[in-house]
Amino acid sequence: MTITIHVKCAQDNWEVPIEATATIAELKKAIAGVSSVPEDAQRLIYSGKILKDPETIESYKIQDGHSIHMVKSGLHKKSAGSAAAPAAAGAPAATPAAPSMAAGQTGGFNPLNDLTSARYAGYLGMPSASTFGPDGGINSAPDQEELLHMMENPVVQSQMNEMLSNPQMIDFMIQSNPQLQALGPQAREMLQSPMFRQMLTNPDMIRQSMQFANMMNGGAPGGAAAAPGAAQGGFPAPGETTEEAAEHAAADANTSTNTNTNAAAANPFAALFNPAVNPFGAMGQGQNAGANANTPAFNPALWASMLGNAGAAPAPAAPDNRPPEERYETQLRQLNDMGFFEFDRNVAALRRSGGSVQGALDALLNGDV
Amino acid sequence: MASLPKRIIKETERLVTDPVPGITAEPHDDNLRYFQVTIEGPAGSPYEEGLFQLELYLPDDYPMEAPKVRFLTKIYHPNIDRLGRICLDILKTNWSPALQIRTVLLSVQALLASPNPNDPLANDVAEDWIKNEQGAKQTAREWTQRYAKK
Amino acid sequence: MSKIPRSFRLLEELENGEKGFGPESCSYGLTDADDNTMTNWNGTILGPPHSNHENRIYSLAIECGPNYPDEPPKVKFISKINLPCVDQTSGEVVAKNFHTLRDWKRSYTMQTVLLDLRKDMATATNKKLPQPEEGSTF
Repeated sequence: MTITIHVKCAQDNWEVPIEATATIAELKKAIAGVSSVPEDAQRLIYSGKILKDPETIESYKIQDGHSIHMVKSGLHKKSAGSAAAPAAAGAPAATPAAPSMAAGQTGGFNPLNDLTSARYAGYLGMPSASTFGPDGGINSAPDQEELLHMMENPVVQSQMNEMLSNPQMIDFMIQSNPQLQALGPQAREMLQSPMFRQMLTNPDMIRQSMQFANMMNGGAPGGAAAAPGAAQGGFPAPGETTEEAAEHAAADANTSTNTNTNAAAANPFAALFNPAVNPFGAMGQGQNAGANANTPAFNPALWASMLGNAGAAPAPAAPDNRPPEERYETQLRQLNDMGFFEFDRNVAALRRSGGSVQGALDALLNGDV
Repeated sequence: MASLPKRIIKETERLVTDPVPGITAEPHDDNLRYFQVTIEGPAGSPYEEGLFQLELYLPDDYPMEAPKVRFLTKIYHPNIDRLGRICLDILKTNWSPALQIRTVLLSVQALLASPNPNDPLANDVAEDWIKNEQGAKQTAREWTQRYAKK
Repeated sequence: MSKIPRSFRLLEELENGEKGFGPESCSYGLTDADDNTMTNWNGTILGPPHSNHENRIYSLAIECGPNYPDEPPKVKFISKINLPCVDQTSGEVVAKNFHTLRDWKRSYTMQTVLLDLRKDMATATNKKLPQPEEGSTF
């Protein structure tokens, strides 16, 4: 049986098809073929074990789609700048696709590029900003039917999926939405959760949960509490009565637990469904920005202003001899949170920016490091 | 700990007051999202006469996210691996918030009655099952006798 | 946040290790892939750059007891290493000398431990410590 193994080494990532019965020595030969790293310079690690040449892939129980790490022995040569975008830990589906996505884009990886060109531009079925009211959807929530209809469209679905699995896009959504910003780290968690993605992309699920919510409301004593939420033309949380949704939202927001009253129910529920609507607003706005500029090209000024670019990097005041993981501890953590996991690249970017996360982000997004 | 959502309370109550034949599910006292589960092997299957222990956990996002379920009793089955992980579509991609603990456990019971070696989790067992179904079923019976005896 | 039970937490960690979602600088997996108690694990740490550990691969044994993750795992270096928090006869990481194990939190994972050990190797005082020959074991 042939399986495909992901081989990761610093910024490189290869997919190596091989027989499960092959030995590690044979695997190294196959890796040498695609990576130009000679067999004897390869050290392979899987699940906390250093793989030994005479053993077989099967004996280590390496399975199709699993990842192994390669460490080059001897002097560590810096590999020529691969444009591979770091795949977010939270988006496993994106992992194998990452290198190919970045390859062929001369300017590195940029979510706005995608948003304003190629796949997103000129798509007629996309909701315009006006669909959701002038402020991006707070005042006029979209009609349920309209939403459902839109979500039936496979193109919209795949776009939504792609956007939501892209950590940079999530940043963009949050940055461009005061409501989402106000939610703090919760916003990111929510946007990235598979549950939320499913909620936004699976019309059946939306419909089902609407029905389910209605059904539960009909029978449960919580029915009365559900009314305010429904009257707002809201987006019922799938699978929950509004009362429960309210409890949930309240618990999430770390507010007091005493939310079982009807009065309290309306507000947390609003908090729950508003963010669900906002990304559409963000999308509409983003698309409009591209359309207004009348060019599918990426607009760096726009991107910079959205990020609140700190501008030129300040020079460090005095030489700091601490190791980078100490000196940039908080910044590195922030970059990790934003989906950049390659330590060496992150440090290089931070060195360049003099420790500014914004500056480092620019460098990472532009593929300058 | 955040208070338990009403839906979970309701489901738990119903599991106790109106149990599914051949299935028990009881929450742990110190963690009401964590259930101790038993499933009787379906009659006519190689798991007949066996009583299988499982554990089930309702993650924070339940019911948006599927429950997590694992066999604690060793079992020889093409869709259940050595660690007790279960390959069942409704626990993964086909989960819907309209499903619940009860339907999940019924589906697991149904999986015992009709294994699906073409969508395996335990590759070696599945191979055995396809090549030599009678032999595989015999092994499954032996494992049931050895590990799942009531 | 509710408390994820030990087994499901370990299954999550196992999957992260097998699929390589974590950083490249550490790796971990079950010692015996059939052990359904998921107690014994292997770990590796790639020595941090600009230190005497650079380009070395350290092997470790990790034991997640029945009360993990309420209690920290027991961590032991298999590869010889000279580090203040590591017992020089057994290779054990001494919990009271290593903050991640001493101030253990339930949200910590094996990856947290491995990455923090790597960080510890790279501190100004530790990175220049003379190291035993590469490949020797406790």
